[in-house]
Amino acid sequence: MEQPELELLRGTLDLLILKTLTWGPLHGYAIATAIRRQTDEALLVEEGALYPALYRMQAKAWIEAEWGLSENNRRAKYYQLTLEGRRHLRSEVKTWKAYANAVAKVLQATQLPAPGGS
Amino acid sequence: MAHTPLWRRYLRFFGANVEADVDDELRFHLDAKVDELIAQGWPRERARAEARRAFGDIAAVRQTCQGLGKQSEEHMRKTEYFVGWRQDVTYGLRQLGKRWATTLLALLTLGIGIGAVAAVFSLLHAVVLRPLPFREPNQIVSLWSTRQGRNDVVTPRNFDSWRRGAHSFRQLAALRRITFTVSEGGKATQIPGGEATSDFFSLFGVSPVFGRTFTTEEDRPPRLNLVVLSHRLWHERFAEDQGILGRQIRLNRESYTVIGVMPARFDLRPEGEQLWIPLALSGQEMNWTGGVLYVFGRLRPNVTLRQAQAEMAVMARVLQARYPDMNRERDISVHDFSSDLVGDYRQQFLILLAAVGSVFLIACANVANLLLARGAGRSRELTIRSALGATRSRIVRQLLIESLLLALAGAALGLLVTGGAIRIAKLAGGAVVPRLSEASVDGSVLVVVLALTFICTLFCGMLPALRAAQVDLQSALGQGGRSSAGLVRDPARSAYITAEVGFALVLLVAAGLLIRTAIAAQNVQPGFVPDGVVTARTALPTTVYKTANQVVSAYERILDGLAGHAGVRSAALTSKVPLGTSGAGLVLKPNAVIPPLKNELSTELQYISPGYFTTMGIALVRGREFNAHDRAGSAQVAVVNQALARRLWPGQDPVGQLLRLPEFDTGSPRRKVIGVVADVHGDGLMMPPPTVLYVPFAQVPINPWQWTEQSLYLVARMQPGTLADSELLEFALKTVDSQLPLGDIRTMNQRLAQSVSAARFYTLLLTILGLCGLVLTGAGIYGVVAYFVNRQRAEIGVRVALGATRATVLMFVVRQGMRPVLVGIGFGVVASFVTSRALASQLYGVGSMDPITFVAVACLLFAVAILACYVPARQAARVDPMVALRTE
Repeated sequence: MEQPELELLRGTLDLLILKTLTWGPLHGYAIATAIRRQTDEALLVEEGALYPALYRMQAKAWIEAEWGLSENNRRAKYYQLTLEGRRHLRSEVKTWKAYANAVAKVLQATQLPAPGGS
Repeated sequence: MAHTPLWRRYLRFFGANVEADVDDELRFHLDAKVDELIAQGWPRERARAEARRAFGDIAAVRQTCQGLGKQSEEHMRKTEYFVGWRQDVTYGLRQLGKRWATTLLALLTLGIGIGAVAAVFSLLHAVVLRPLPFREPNQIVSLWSTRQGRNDVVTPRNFDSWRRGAHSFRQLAALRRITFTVSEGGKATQIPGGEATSDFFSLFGVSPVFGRTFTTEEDRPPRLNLVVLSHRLWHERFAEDQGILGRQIRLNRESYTVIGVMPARFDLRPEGEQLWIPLALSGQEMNWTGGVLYVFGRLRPNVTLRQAQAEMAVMARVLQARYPDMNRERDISVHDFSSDLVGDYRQQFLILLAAVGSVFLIACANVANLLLARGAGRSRELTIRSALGATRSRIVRQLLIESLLLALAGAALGLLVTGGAIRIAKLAGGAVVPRLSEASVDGSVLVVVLALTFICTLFCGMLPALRAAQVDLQSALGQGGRSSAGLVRDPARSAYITAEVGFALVLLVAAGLLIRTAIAAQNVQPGFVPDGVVTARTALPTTVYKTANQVVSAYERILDGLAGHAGVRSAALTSKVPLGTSGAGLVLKPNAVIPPLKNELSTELQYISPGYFTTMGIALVRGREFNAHDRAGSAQVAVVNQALARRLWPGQDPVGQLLRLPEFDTGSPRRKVIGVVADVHGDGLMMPPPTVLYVPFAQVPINPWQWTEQSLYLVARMQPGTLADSELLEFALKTVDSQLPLGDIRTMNQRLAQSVSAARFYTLLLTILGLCGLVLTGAGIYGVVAYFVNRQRAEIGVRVALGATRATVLMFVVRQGMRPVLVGIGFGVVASFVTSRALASQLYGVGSMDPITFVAVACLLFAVAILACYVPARQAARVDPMVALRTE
């Protein structure tokens, strides 16, 4: 596939996973599918990269996992946000927005800012 | 669709399996992807390939995930473990709180037990175990000139020969203990001090905090007036004056320059020397034939005590040949300095520790029984817990944590007890026992308390915990928490009782023997009449009173003044009072030799004024007392006591016999025995009376006067109804010489009380411990039997229903309880045969195998045990069969 590949910023995948999990408990494949669809297949390069991120966040207690049955009755591991995870997501979203804003301002600037301005 | 093979599920059977989980999860992802692609119309083979491609590096992802998974699994397990502990602790606290009465009882028992053991240990540690505060203290030895097994101080000549000839020692130093009259700051008082060789201080490896000690040059005659102060004297007399160096102080009416102050750690013994001047032996002193020196040595690095002893044995033989006068029959013994210092206390403290430890173990056994009973009562609760899935190890852990909490609380209480006990011990013995004043709750004591805590957790908790965890689900739930196991079928309880009884018996035998000793001592006739007699010590300075004549006439004037005082019935002078505890002065032990040199023995020697026997109330057995005509120029005379008479002239009349004192009398003229007096227990009531030779003080040559610092005791027997006070004695002194010191002022009754006070205190302590052990044991037996009766109510009910009489029920219960008691008494008697031998050296008038004590103690324990069984047994006998069976 020759789609444009964006380098995932560090932590961005975590953010996407957490956001996806706000819709409810999902297994790994469903998370991957959701992210792929929502980003128009632009962001997630390799589905496998999802799993280390899931395990790491589980260790940090942002998400918790439980084995359950999938839509077609197969054993699947379902992930779910914890309270701690929700809190983390909120603060990350805030940071991300501020960051994006700042970068956007610079990129959209039309002239060098006057010296002495704040 | 690849299904998970069935067997894989069994991998999860033993807890989480991280590897299988990761595999399952990744496989599910790939399968789901393949399914989706097939649904979109991909052929199966291509769909599989596409799924793998989209996933990326499967192997790498799996490895990372497995690593992460294992880490968090580990973490979780730990967290869970600690949460479990916290639960157990909280639960344990709640359980202990719920049964607060039992808890409080157990807590007090353990607290006092742990506290007492720790306190005795801290004393043992402070006095005996702790190394002396010197450089390489185990190299320091003390050397004695011994005769007939008795250690004597050393003559200057011998010390000099040892120093020149012995190779085992890096250094040999000598100390002459003397009493100084210090007139600094008003009233003249007597302070123990010493004349020391220059290397005395460096031998111990202690340097002064201020100034310096003596140089080798200053250790040669003529003696310079230099003085080194102890820290105690500097602190008490000079208020830690920083500018003390170079100051002149008055000692024995002469001016001395302070050149140094020793550190506090050099004050080893409470009654030790407080100041030192140079020894600087003169030629005349070198020829003294009496021993005056305490000798200390530091062994060369790889010389053992035994090697040093062997070398000195050879040396003793050489000196016997070279100086036969002062070395007849004399050996040299080399002792470990620390055992000389605290040797007597080592054994006493160890016995005390053993006694306290026994009480502690008895207490532990009681607590264990308490917990056993409680564990049995809790079997229902524990059964439910295990039915709900608690593992056996978890329940054991839970119960052990409960015991640990109990023991820790007990330890905390114990520390308080320890602190209090140490304070009491310091008050009681700090003035006598070396280094006792430094006892405190320090690191080593904390370690002991912790160790005791764990011992008692295991000892008290392990068996009940294991027992409780063994409950049989079915039967326990069915019986509503009652088990019908009786005492007989419960070897653990019986064993606890047996052990308790055994320990208590050993303790009581020890206490009993000591009590018999105290009674025997009480009945000892001291050999003098103490009532209304007051004594005090003085000394005439050698610088003013230089000849024997001057000394004698001064003392005669003092005696006249004292005797002429209203209220004094009679007065006398003596070089030594019976039961004198003062370390000052010197006990002379010259050889009494009967010509021809056949019978010979070393004896105590006392010089006394006429009227001493009357004043002290010592009975004259034969012959006559000294009188005013026994003077320097007249016939040389002596009085012997009965013990000496028996040794020297068995079966003969001592009066009129002749003897010589070669070390004492210059030119050793013959002395004629003119009288025999009764024996006096001069070294303590529990010691056999020493052999004593009395000579009139007017016939003492100048050298022996100097050996004893020209000091004598003033003795006054008051008129009945007159109060004996020291002012009277002081007045008698002042009329002759206003600067004479007065020290060691005590009535003979005080001396008598003091001589037995240590032994009496020790006996009291062991008796209290023995009684504690007895009471605890009785309580333990009662508890177990009462518990047994409670449990056996139904069986007893059945027996009564079947026609058992009250008496048979009583017998049944008592027999159950007494069986382990009798076994315990048997063990205890056997153990006592061994342990009481350790007491032998502290017994008087009673053998360590004294059958009366053994039988009495066994009977006492038996009686207490019977009582402890009888009370619950009577309850059992009153069981109404109907009620008992119905409540079942």
